[in-house]
Amino acid sequence: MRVPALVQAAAGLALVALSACQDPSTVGLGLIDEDSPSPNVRVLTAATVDTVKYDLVTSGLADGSTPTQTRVLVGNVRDALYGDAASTAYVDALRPTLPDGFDDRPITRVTLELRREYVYGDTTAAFPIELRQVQGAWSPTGLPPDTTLGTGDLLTTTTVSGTDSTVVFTLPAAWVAANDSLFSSSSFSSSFEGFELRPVVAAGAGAVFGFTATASNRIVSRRSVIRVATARDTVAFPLSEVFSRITSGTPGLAPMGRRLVRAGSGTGIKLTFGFNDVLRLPLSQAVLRLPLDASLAGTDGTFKRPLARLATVFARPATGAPQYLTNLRPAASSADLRTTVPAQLTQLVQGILLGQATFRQFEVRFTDVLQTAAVSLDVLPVITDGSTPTTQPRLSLTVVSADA
Amino acid sequence: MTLFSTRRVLRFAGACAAAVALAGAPARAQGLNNYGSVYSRYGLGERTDFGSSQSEMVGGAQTALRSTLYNGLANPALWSDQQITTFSAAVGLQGIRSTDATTDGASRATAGDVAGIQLGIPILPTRLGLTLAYRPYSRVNYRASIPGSLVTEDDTTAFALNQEGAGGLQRISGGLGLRLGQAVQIGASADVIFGTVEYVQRTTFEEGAFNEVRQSRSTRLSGISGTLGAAVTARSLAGDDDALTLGLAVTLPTRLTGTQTLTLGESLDRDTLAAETEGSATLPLLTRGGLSYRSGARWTAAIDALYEPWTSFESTLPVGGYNEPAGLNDLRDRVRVGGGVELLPAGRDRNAGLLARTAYRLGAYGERGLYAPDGSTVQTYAITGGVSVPNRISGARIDLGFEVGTRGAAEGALVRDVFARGSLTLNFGERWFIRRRIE
Repeated sequence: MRVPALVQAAAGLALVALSACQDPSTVGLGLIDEDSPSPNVRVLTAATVDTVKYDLVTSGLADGSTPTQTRVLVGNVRDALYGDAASTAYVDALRPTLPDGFDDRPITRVTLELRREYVYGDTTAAFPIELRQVQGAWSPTGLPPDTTLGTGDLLTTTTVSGTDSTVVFTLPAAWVAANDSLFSSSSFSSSFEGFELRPVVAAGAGAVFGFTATASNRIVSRRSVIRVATARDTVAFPLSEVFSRITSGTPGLAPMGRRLVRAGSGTGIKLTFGFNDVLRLPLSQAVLRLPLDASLAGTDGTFKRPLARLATVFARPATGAPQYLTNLRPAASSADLRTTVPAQLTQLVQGILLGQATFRQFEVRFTDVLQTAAVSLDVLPVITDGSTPTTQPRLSLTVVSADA
Repeated sequence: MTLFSTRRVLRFAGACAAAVALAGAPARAQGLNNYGSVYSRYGLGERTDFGSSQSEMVGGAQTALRSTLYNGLANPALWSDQQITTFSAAVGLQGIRSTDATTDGASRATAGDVAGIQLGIPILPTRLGLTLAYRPYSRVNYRASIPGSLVTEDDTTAFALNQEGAGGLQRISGGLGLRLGQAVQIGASADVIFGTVEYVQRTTFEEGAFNEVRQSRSTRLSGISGTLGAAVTARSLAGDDDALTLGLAVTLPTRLTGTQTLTLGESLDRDTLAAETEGSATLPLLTRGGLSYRSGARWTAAIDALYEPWTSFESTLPVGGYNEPAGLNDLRDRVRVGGGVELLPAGRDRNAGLLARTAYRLGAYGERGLYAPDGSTVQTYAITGGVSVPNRISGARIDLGFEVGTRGAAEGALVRDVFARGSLTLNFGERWFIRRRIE
């Protein structure tokens, strides 16, 4: 009676093992009387392109905590295309673990050392920056971008040049003596609220410089720090809370067929599309593209306007807050920005095509959804002349339909 | 006095559970994408006529094939032959190699299925029997694929447009068979037919940045049919222990009602692309007749013929090969003839060896399909066979069957399928009702 059991087991195994085999081909297509749809790309150019204001965040924590901010901007620039701008920076610091006996030794020198990593404007500009001590507690979380923090008297002034990689502010001896116990105090965090770096209006075009604020750079020499020295040792206090108050001046004048927006202004691009010709079509992919005029960015002589390499797409419902969709990054074959991970955008647009989603409006902003992008004045010179489908912001929809 | 044997019922229930678990194997496999013949697109799917594992092995002959263990489902009149309570579950695995006139190479597919599950209860042994059964009425499981490439603004990506069919109609039957006198048997059953036939257009892309697009046209139908059967047996014709049976069964035309929907997406996450359409479909009459001859307990031979006029099929909902508003009707009358023989060397000798008590069966059938694409007749020819191995449990047998055949031709738009099928059926029989004498 063993034979049936073995046969039964073998047959069962064969059923499970072989049931998934398949090798499809075109064999038999002639017997299938369905319409044969195929993937094809439909391009929807933006029906309207406008600017839109959004809540700007320029403050954050330098240690990587949320909200993260890894840069501060200081300077003053005049720009006939994108408009004038100025920025004042605020930096606070953390007390690190101190060497033994540090608090018993008198402080001999305190410097604020800033590492420059970014410039917008005249790269040859040189102008003074004034340093003051912040008075009163502040928090970078939820800080309105137009906040002016209270400060004390001017402590020192240092001239900053576009050729300098490091800017050093040396605190006056009197201030050092007055704050001798501050840097070794266990209440440093609550007693010290940081410094303000205020630009003095420059002659000529001027520039806005960006200084790294990240405390996570493994190379200590590339960190911006408050350096505190005694006769015996030196301790670097890493930056903790940072904030850039960016203000706009005289607006710029954009050429015809161009919509110019700049980061740090809280201004993005608002796009609307007409979906009537593609309603109820199955969608495989939706890609949003922003055609950019690279001639209105980059370096013009000594004047530099960094082109944005990252932007975010939000969908705005009829009511309620905009919802983050995806990021825009440079396209492989052109200077355009395009969505590179299109799944969420595709899902949302499919909902629109099926009449299930009320979204009709997209917003392009400069920040990413996690607010981890460094504050900047990067520009987006968006082409909007609409003379061809490629000279207008557009949605490229890969649909599957019989009528390609 | 008739008593209910709890111990036997429990043992029988355990065996049934094992059989149902076995039936679940291909069901699970079906969820893994399994495909069969592209001809299953036509009508409401490829027709299946599972009667019993015995009839499957003798060319599908079942209308007059009498047995006390096998409870053939084609002719309810024969359900009156039941002496013991029986349960059987059958599963199958089929491989198909398909070619056509325009494609280099072949398409290969493998599909598992549940052929049928049935429970037979003798209310009055050999006089009045009740049968409950589940079996597919039709099966849709084709797939064909068109490769292509899509040029986008950034690059070119390869895609495949898959035309697929899935689902089919199921059938649950219940009925009685009654023996009138020594020679005549009659029976009737009610058949609930239900199910969903789904035509899927699934577009897949080589590049992961594109979503798979799955459009589906699903036709959900249900209705009730009825089958009437009769059989007449003449005994002692050429010897003392032989019998010749003539059987006839008719399944009435059935009007199914239901809906058709066009959806986008998969499983529960589907969006409706078009409004649901209500409609109906009328299945044609099915007439079958057969002859069987049993010589003692060793030899049995049977032959069957079946006629199903699909030219009378009507549907307000378009289905494969039939779209009335568009003037499309590729359906034809289905005709099938099959037969075979069974040899049980041991006859009624229960003490013989295993091989002698094993039944050996061989058969063949020919069928003209219910479809005629472009007017071309599609013929199927197959050889069937298998063995039925007894088990230590009295009344239990394990049947292993095979079927090898060809369907169609690689000419014009037609496809030539070469298929091989294996089946496994567990049959159990128990005497539930024991008559005890009070001394």
